[in-house]
Amino acid sequence: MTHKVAQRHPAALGLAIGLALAVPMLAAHAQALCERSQIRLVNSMRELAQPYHADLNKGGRAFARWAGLESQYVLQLNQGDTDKQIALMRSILATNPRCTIFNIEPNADVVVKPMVETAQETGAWIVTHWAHPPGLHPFEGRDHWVAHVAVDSEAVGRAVSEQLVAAIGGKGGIVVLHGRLDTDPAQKRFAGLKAVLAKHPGVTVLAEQPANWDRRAAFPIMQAWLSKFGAGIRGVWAANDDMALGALEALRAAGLAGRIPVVGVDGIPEAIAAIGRGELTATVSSDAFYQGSIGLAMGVCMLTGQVPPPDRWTKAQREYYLRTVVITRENAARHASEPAAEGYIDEWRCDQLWSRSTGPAF
Amino acid sequence: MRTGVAMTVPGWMRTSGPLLALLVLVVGFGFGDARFVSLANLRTILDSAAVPLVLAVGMTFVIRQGSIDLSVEGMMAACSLVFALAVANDRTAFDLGWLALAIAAALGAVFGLANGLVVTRLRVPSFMATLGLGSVGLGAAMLLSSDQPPLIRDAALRQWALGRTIGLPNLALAAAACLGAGLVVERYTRLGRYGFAIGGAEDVARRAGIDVDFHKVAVFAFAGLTSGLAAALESARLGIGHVEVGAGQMLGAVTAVIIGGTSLAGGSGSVLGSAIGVLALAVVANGLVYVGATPHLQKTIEGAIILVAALLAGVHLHDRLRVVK
Amino acid sequence: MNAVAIRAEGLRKRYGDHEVLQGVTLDVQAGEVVGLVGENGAGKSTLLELLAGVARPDEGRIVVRGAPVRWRRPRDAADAGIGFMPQEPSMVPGITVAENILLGREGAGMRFGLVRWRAMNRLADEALREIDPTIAPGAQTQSLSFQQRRRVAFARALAAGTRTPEAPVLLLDEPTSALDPDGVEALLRGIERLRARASIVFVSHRLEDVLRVCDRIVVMADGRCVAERAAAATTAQELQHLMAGRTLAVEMAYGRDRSHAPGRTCLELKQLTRIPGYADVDLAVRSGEVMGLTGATASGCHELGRTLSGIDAPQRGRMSIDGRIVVLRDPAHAVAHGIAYVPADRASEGVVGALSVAENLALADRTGWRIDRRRERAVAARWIERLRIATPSASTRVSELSGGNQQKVALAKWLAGPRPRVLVLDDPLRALDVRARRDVVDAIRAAALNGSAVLVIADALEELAAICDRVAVMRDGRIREDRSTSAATRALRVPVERAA
Repeated sequence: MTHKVAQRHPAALGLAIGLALAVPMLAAHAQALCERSQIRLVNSMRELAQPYHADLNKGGRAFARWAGLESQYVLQLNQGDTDKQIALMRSILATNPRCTIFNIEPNADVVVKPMVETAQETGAWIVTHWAHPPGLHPFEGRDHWVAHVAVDSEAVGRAVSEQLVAAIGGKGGIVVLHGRLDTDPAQKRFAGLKAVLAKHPGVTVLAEQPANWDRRAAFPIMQAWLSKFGAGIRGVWAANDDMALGALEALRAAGLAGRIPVVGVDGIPEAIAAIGRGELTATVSSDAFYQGSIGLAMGVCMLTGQVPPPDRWTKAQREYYLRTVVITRENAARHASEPAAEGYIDEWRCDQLWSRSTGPAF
Repeated sequence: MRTGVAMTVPGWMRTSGPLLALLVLVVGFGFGDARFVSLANLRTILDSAAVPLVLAVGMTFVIRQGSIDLSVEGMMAACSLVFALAVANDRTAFDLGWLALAIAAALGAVFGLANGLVVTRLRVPSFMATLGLGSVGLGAAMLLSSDQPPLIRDAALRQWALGRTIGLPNLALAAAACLGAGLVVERYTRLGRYGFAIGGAEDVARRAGIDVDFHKVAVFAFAGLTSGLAAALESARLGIGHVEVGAGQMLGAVTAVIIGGTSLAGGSGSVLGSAIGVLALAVVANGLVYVGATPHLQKTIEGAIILVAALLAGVHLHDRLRVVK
Repeated sequence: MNAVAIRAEGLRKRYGDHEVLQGVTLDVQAGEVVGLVGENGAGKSTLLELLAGVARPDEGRIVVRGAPVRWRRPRDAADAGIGFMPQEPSMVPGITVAENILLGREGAGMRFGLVRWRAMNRLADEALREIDPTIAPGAQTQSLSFQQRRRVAFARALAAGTRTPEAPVLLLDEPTSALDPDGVEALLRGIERLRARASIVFVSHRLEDVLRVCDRIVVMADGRCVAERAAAATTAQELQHLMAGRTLAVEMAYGRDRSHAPGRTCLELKQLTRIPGYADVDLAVRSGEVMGLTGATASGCHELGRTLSGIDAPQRGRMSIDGRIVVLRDPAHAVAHGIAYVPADRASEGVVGALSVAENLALADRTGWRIDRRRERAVAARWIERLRIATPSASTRVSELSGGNQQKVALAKWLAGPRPRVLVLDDPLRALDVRARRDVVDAIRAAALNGSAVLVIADALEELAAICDRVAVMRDGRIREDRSTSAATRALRVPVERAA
């Protein structure tokens, strides 16, 4: 129920919750833990080649620039290698750990625990996104795990699947492109699809294949399916926009671009543009630009004393769901432009840190 | 003089073996699902084989002369970015169209030239030299891609890359042209023929007065050219300049070359054999999707194919005392 | 008066610290066939390589048709009309016969980087026709038999020689080696056909072939030309005598314990065959006996040695040790059967250069899995003394020792371990000085006394005369003679002087 409200009146709800959370925060003013010039901002993600990650990085860098800390901004890319993500974190913490804040896009859920432990050992600070292993929470004594910004991937999956089912009229065969199935988003989004399919028995899954979040893998798979099922394919469900766009190119090669509904997740600019052209049906945006910056904003506010340290936060402030937006033809134009710092400055202020929270995530 | 060969592969198996294997695969998958052998799917297979074939042509020459080129992925990344930035795209103002294809190929050739010079002048084994230069290419590609991979907006080019002529995918036709060129060079030019000599018995070639270094560099440059061309074609098809455009391609190219009968030891083989190898791998990849196998199973099967191919290809070299590293 | 086609003047060549050619002067007249004979290591191949431009002399000069030449690349010699057929097979497997014949100098066969197959085949055929008209220039080299490939190599030499309008000079290094009798015959007839219009240098160990086709024969030994005879005026015996140089047997023929009688047959070979190499070999060596096996290049001795060591399996025939038939799978298997093999190429095959003397000696001792350093050192000390191995210490790396001492280490390795049933030594006395030879011979005899059946393979009978009880002579893969040493040396009328 909260999510439906969130989708229809996002700004209002956000403001309400944010204020509710922040006011007591501001009242309790705290000591600065670091000199501003010492604060180091680290964004840790998979790679830059995918537009989603490119936006993550852009958001982080834009925030750093606004905060006057651009020279202290570090980008860590692990190229899909979980061990490397941890190793990169450890290596940079050889210096100045106590004033370093990490904003993490975990390569796989398993990486969260070791990274949190590293932060606890060294005194660094860490904000994680998306998902963590079950039973692990920031507020159980892990003071250096500042916050976990969760995305309800099952809700996201449900939302986008409903769009697809609606677009094909509630019956017909669809093909499914999974993400990396050892990640929470991939599993949960698919769970959302299954939940929607359970309510629409007229829709069948003709085939499913993991395509590694990658359009280059999705392309030949889609081509093979086109020649196998031909006109039997009424819709395409992809766990992220990059794969959806790969499938779209295969459709284009068969002259079917725009004629078969395709959905994805992420809300990257290219996908939004495709929606505008009618080639993609829907996507869901968690706003990569925001995700890439909010953890850093939290860190700066806390380290400069404008906000107390995390052990004094409420549980809802330590682990909450991030608001997401379903983008369809109706609102594509509104989201089509390049994200720019100006649109986000308000949300980076220390009293607005939780403006996009839709509620606790535990 | 052979020593202690446990099993011998009859001559006919080595020459027509790959072709037979390909036929068996097609028939096998066809039994699994009749739609596999439909015209549409065969076209799909040809399309997916196009870019690997272009790579395999170049790789055949390199392996035949006794070297290896591990820089394919990095080279493709750099050439893909340059190509995408040179055609009409969303980041730069260039709009060079077909010329960009030539530029990508030329850049690849320059890269290959560098490979060849490091191997012949600095005497670094090709394994290491190409690995290093490949990383350089990858780094350059990342720099060019920076925060935003360029999206290709040249509609005519994209239409061509995704389209067909006389019923066959355009990319497949381009690859076939590349194959033809490779055949001509291999059969009718000094560069091609001397490659056999250099790979088969380099000291004999040297003593005969052949400028071995020059020919080695030329072959590396040729392989670089094919990598650049392959990168451009793949980018045109996907519509994006991507640092990962070459990921996994090198192993596929080497596997195809070996399946096709070119020995890793050098001195033998043909681009035609490599083409069959490429088709075989494409058939397997497509067929596995058809029967619904997961990518993990696909990887396992591809790995098994590589092992079997290497085994069959090298069985005539089984010498009890040969040191295998 | 005949012009001199090619002339070597005072050629010197050194490889490492070994002076292979010590001032060689040789003339080849136009239209002459000169035979060049000598033992292994005499320098024949090196001389030919210098004349063919494959290597450059350290001193001296080469004069071709009256003009001195300074070649920089092998191709320069070929361009001057000098055709070379090297001893080792030198064909590129993956290309056609015509390409091999013309490799590097295709002339009209390749223009502007493009191959013109018809012209190529035609040019190659001109030379090929003379040698073997049954081979097609367009055939794949891989499909040819070994014999055919040797003929193609001959055609290649001829093709080079006929590039210039001058009469060609052909340098043939063991062209008949490893050919069957028909092949040899065909090649000799080829030479005879060419003698009218070419000058030929013919190196061979088969003295009767040399005597048959050559006008003049030059004998080389220890890097020098030591004698020259007109072919019509000499015999194989005389040539052999001249080749051997000083009589080695002098230093070695002493102290042989005649009272020691050998035991039962230990190693027995029946109809052992491995083609190319050797065929129908029957041999028996008794425990405590030292058997010699000799023959010139490609006689099959060394190939037989490799079979006994387990490296090359025989195609037919039987091998038994102490009455039990054994089929050797690999060298480790041979060692397990008690066969110790000391190879000819000691540096690369006999010792592990990177390990120390003590470690090498311990290699053959496979008892237990623990390395007992103290025992290693004790064993090393003992053998260093016994064989007088000149080494700074037992932990010196073997690669730093001289060749002779490396040989001693290679031998001691087997003697230090459990007694081998069969000890096979390939060319054990090669390049050893007198003292080292004596020490090694002592060790070999001691091994025999200890009960091993010893087989010594060497290139010259004289080397074996003093150590062996029996000698078998091989030629072209078969055993020709097998008799006691005294009988053998008597038959060949080689003077063996006994020390007082």
